[in-house]
Amino acid sequence: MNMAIDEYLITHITDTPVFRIYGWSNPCVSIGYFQSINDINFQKCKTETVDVVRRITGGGSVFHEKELTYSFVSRKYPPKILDSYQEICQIIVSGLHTLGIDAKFSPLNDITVDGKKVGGNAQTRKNDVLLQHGTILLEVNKEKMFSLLKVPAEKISDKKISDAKYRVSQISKTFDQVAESLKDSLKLVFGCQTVPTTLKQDELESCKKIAKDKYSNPDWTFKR
Amino acid sequence: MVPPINRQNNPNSMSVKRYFKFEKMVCVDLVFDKSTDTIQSVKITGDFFLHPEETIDLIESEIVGTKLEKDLIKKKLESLLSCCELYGFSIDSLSDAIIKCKEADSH
Repeated sequence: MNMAIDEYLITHITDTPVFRIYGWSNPCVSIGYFQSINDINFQKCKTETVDVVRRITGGGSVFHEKELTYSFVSRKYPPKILDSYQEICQIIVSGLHTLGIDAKFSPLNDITVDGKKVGGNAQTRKNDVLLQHGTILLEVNKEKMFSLLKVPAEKISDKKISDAKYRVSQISKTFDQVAESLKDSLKLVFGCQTVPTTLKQDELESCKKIAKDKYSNPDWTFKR
Repeated sequence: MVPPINRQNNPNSMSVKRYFKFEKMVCVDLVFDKSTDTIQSVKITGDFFLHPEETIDLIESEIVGTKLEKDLIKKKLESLLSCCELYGFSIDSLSDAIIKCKEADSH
C-alpha cells in the first residue's frame, strides 16, 4: 500500500510539495525498479513472512522493519540528479542534527553517521514531478537484513570491506522523535509552513486499487 | 518485450551473466549467437538510476540483433539514452560490460 500511495501522490500532486512520513505494518523488502528479483532471497522472505514489493524508483533493495520511511513529492526540484538528492537529503541531515546525530549526506543517495549508512534514498521523475523515497534506520537486525538481501561480492570488495554488515548502522531514536525532527527541519530548510494532512476516503480507495492492480501483481514484482 | 530465446534450439547460443561495479552495480545477462556474434537477448539489472525508467525495456529490446562490437553497441545506446538522466554507469562502461560478457565466454 505504501508504494501505491506514493504513486498516487505523483499523479495527483498540486503545486504544493508533499512530505509523507510512514512506517510498515508488516516487515517488507523493497527492490529497485531495475533490480532482478534474484537480487534478494525471495524464498527466505516468504518463510519469514516478509512482504516483497518492487518500487517505481531505481536503487537497491531495502529491508523495511524498524525504520522511518518518507517520501517527498514535488513539481519544483533541481534538474540535476545529484543536486536534487542533496537538497532533499538536507531535510534529513538537518533533522538528525537537531537530535544530536552527526549525520552527513553521502552522494549519491545515502545518509551516513561516522561513515556508516543509516539511510538510503531513491528517486523517480514522472511528468515533471519528482518522487524521492528514503529510509532512516531506527534499529537494525543485521543478521536478518543480510539473510534477506543479497550483496554481490563485487560490491563489497570494491569498498575494501570484508563484511557488508559493517557499513550499516542505526540511529537508536524513536519513530516519533525522528518524525518531529523532520517536520521542524522542513520549516528550517525550506523556510515554509507545514500543514498536516491525511488521505481522504476516495483517495485511499484509489491507492488500494493501485496496490491491488500493480504492487500485488506478480507481473510487476517479478518484472525483472 | 524481448521474446524468450530457446537456447536449446540454437546450438550457437551462449549465455553469460556478469556483475560490474561502476558507480552502481550493474549485472549484464547476455545471450548471443556465437556464429554471427550478434546479441539475442540482454537483461540489464542493478541498483542504478535511469529516468525515465521504462527506457531500460526499450534498450533491451532495441539492442537485439546488434553485432557484438563496442562502437555499434555504444552508438545504439547513445541514441536510446539521448534524452535520459542516467546515474550509476556510463554509456561507454555499459558498452564495455556487454563486450566483456562475450569475452568472458571465450576464456
